[in-house]
Amino acid sequence: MIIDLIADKFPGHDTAGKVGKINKKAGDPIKTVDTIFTIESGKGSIKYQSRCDGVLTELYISEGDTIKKGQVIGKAEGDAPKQASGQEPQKASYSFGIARPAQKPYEVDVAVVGGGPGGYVSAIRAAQNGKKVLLVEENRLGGTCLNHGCIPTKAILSSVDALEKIRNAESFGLEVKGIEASLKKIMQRKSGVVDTLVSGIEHLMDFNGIEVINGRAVVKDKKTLAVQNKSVDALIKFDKLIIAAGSKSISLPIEGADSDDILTSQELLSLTEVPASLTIIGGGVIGMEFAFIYSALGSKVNVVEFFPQILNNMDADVADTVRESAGQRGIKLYEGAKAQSMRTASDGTKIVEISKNNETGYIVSEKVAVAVGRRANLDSLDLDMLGVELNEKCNGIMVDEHMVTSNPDVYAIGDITNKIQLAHVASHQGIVASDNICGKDRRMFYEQVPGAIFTKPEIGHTGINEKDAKRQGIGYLVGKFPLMANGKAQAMGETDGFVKLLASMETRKIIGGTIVGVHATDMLSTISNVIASGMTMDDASHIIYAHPTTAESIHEALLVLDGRGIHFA
Amino acid sequence: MAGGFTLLKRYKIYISESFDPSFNLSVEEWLMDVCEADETVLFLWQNENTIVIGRNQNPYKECDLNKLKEDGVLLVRRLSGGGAVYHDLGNLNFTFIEPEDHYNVDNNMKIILDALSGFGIKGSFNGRNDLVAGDRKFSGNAFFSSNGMNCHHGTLLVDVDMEKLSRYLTVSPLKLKSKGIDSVKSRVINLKALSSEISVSGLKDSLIESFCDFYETEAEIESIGEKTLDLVACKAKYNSYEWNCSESPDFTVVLEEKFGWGLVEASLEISDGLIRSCRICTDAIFTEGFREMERRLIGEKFDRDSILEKIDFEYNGLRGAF
Repeated sequence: MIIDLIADKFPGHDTAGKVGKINKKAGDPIKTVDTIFTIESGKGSIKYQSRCDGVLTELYISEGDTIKKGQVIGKAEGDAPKQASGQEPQKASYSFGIARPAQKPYEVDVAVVGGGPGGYVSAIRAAQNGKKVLLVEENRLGGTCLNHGCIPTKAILSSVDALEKIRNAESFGLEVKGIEASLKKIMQRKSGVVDTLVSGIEHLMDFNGIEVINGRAVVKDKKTLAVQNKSVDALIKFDKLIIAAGSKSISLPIEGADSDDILTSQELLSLTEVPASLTIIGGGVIGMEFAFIYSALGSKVNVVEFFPQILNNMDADVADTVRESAGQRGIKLYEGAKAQSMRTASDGTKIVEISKNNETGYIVSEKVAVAVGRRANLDSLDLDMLGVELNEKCNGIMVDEHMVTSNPDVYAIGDITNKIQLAHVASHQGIVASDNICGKDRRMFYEQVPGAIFTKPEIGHTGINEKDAKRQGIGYLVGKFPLMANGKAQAMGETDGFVKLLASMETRKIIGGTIVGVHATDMLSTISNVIASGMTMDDASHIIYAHPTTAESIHEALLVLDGRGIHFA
Repeated sequence: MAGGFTLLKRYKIYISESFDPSFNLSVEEWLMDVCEADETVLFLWQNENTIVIGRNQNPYKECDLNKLKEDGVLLVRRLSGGGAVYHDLGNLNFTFIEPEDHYNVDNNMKIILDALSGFGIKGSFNGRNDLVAGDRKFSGNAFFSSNGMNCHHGTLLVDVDMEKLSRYLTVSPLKLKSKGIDSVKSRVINLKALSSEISVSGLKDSLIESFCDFYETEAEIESIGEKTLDLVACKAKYNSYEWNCSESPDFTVVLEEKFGWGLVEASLEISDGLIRSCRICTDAIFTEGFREMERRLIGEKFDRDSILEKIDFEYNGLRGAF
């Protein structure tokens, strides 16, 4: 095949340079990595190396010429350009002509489809267990969590936290003037955080000897996947398969919901200008996190929640605290309200029609976002061909406690199983799947899955809450301690929230806990450990907590359980 | 979940025990090969009496090769671009080697300028890859990259013999037209003239300190010499005529000499160090032999000894021309 030789790499980020020494002339045979010539600019020198084995048929440049990025400098005839390992991927400007990528067969112990927190963790664990592992990812490693979810929202939230601290500077005795937030720079910082973590996972894949192929996996038969991208046409024979293909945002089945200007959580993460006003449909975890972020950045935010309560799975007192905080910030909540339609006014403004208690109302805002949950990517693979069946509700792949599907050689983990759609559940399912593949008997339990919600104040919860206990008919004791009575929280000026612990009336064991307030998500692990160790409230109350810390309020809540709280009356 | 780990970068400092330019440039090439994606390397080295030319320069143009040979000054071509520099033991060279993703020339410059500030020297980075004090340059910098690795190196004139520097970096008397890169003359200054406290070894220590401070790390420091590191094959390249001379971009040269018997002008085209065409004009009465000389020179190395050997037949009288 004939290959156009294009000057695509220049020293530094220069886009032009001077042709230095030319080492090959037209007609010369060339091999991959042979230096054809050197490019020199003010930023240094760089070799232009051959990327194929063949013959340099034409060279249009001579020494001393100035060349520009993207310029065709010659032609070569040879076999398909190889991607040398360790080199950055060749740019799309490199013409491949009509040639197809080379076919490459793989035979692996474990193939993983999806490189999110489920997939990449299962791949690492399988590799640690001595298996030959190959992972297929369509987009970027890290999946939704890292690229469009947990991590980028937390990066933005950190900027927002700093902004709010500065705004409240006066209450700390500081005078700060001229605060300006740039959403563009906040988003740049966010992207930097994400890029660092993605490259970290790439490094981990490398370190664990896991082959990563970028592309979309297609099922060929029960034991074979195919993946095609620009540089490889891979045919992958696997012994075991782990499906970790994730989920995507659900859109609402109402008028105007499929319009292009309706935002999803992914788009909320890449706005470069703060909308004057924003209506979020969905007052769950994702919707509420964005409500607080955009409100702090200056948007007038409305939230429409179908259930009678925002964060509907949380206890009422938890939602009350968040509701009050939202109210203070001017976030308008419409709870128990159903979005009926989304229309666009002639000036581009969005109009959301809602109905609440059989009354119709309208909310007007610049932008509308929908965050009403995520649907498993069940159409990403031919599950029939794999012999993999869906669960009863047909909203996820059916798996047992070992994460095995109806095909004993195929495992499924993460959002696609629709058990609990959380990154840490996916990761844990991944470890369970890979350990089972390697002959260990590991089971997945969902009773002790903690949750972290980054509203203001933030929420951490694990185990059983009051709603669950009532529904399940469990007799319980409650110990609740307000952060208002905690010295550290007072010193920090962060007194919203409380620690609430539940103990079984029968066994006196701690069975659940919710923390609302500063450090809540970080403090939560203490409660997880107490529950997992099966401690009674009496034993747990003998653990010493350091002073002065917000965690002392966990101790106090333990004491309150027994009716003997020290710092709260 | 992402976020459960951090990527620790590793920092290494190498110090060369050798003053041989072929060894030190080989070390750079070796470091470019072995440096890992998570590493940043600082390499400190010195060359004795050496002219180092840029990757795409022409030694015949940049210096007077005969003078170098007479005085025992070495000539070596480096991999980075830019112009010719003179090194002696009053000069300290630094090399930063880093992978593309955390390569940052400004950081490196800051490390150097911080090190100098300890001696009360206030330098700055001008737009043209030089570090200067006022308008006088004390450090020339050059760069190259290969396979995603980047090399940024430069000189630090601490106490260089300025008389020799200007003598050897005098453009050759040859009438020469090269397609390569020409050196740009700069007004230079020794750091010693800016601070009487500074010395090469003091500056070395201060650079190490400033590198460690900047990256908030205790970098591994390792001395390397020809006994500890076998780079014979690579060294051979840097000592070869093929690399130092033949790797010049094409050039033409006109050699002119007046003899008692007439004027001789030889126009040569040189490519890959070899004479590709040769045209000799003379106003001498006798012209036989010159055509023969042209034929003999074509395909020969453009080098004094090779040329002399070829023309040293019955026309001895022409010798002085070369």
